[in-house]
Amino acid sequence: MRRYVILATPLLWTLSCAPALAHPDWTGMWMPYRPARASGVPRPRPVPDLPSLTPPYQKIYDKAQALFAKGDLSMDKTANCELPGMPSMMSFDNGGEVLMTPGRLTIISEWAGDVRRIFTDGRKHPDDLYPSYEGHSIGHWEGNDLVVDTVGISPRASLNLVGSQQSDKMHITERFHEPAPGRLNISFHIEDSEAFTKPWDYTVMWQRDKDPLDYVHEYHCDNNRNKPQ
Amino acid sequence: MMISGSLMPAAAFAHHSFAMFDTSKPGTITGTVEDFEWSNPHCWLDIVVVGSGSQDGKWSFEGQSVSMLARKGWSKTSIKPGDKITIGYYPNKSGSKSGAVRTVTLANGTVLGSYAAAE
Repeated sequence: MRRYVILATPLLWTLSCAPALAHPDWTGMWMPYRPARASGVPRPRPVPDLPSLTPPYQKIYDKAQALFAKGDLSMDKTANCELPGMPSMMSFDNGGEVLMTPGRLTIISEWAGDVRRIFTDGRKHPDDLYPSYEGHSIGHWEGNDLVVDTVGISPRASLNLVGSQQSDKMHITERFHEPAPGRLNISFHIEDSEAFTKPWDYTVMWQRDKDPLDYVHEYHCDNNRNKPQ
Repeated sequence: MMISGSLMPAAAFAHHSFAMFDTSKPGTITGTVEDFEWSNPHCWLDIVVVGSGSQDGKWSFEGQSVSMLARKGWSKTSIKPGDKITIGYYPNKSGSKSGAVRTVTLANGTVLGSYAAAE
């Protein structure tokens, strides 16, 4: 009997470790991926598709647009040094670091130093979730893709860069996919039964930082000016 | 390679829409530095222009975040009040004396670039 136990132990160890070893390792510094442009042609501005908004939320967006047009960024929360939160913290301009450790994937976005944790240890969303800028994220692997479910995002988080607003019912599903070595596409599917008339889908593209010495710099936001002079 | 509408790389000025700047009309202007703010979410450069007719006066230019400019070789001491510099910029659509910094050329010829210059 004892002999069987001795034989089974390394087998169990191998089985429990094998899935972890099979996952891609995305640890490291990432930057936005910018496809090359044709010579002499201005790069098209990456204007994100807007979510289709319900009337009350359309009104908020219209008000923000009217202010932005006058150079007033008072309705742009990150211009006033709030954390971007989800989902905008993933559309970083500054780069970010991915840390893959047992049971979780951590993303340090340089933009305002925002940090999110994606739990991959099998836990569920808590019942008594307190809303946060980053929300509560749980992920599972589907082959080499990581599929992440996020809820509990505070309405204070920034939805995008153009003044749209979301409700606390927002539910984000992301698929992290590596289309080629050194590239990551993160496809977003965002539902909000209160603010959106239909789900909002888009993809954020990252590439590994070409500078091997680069790192997440400090980003102390001091709200130097919140509108152009 | 074209970017489809559903693909969203990060904006060059992450914290607000770049739509307020006219990227089809890049300009350059030379003046004397009044203030250089090395700060987040944006760095700022104020210059005073004289002897350029209707362009004379104080101009304010918005730069990228500290870390983004640091990656392009800038530092807190790159530019000092009193320096004569030439700024490559995208003008503000409002027509005010302001814009987004693309490049800064120092008096000694050194050019400080930015990620906005690639847009």
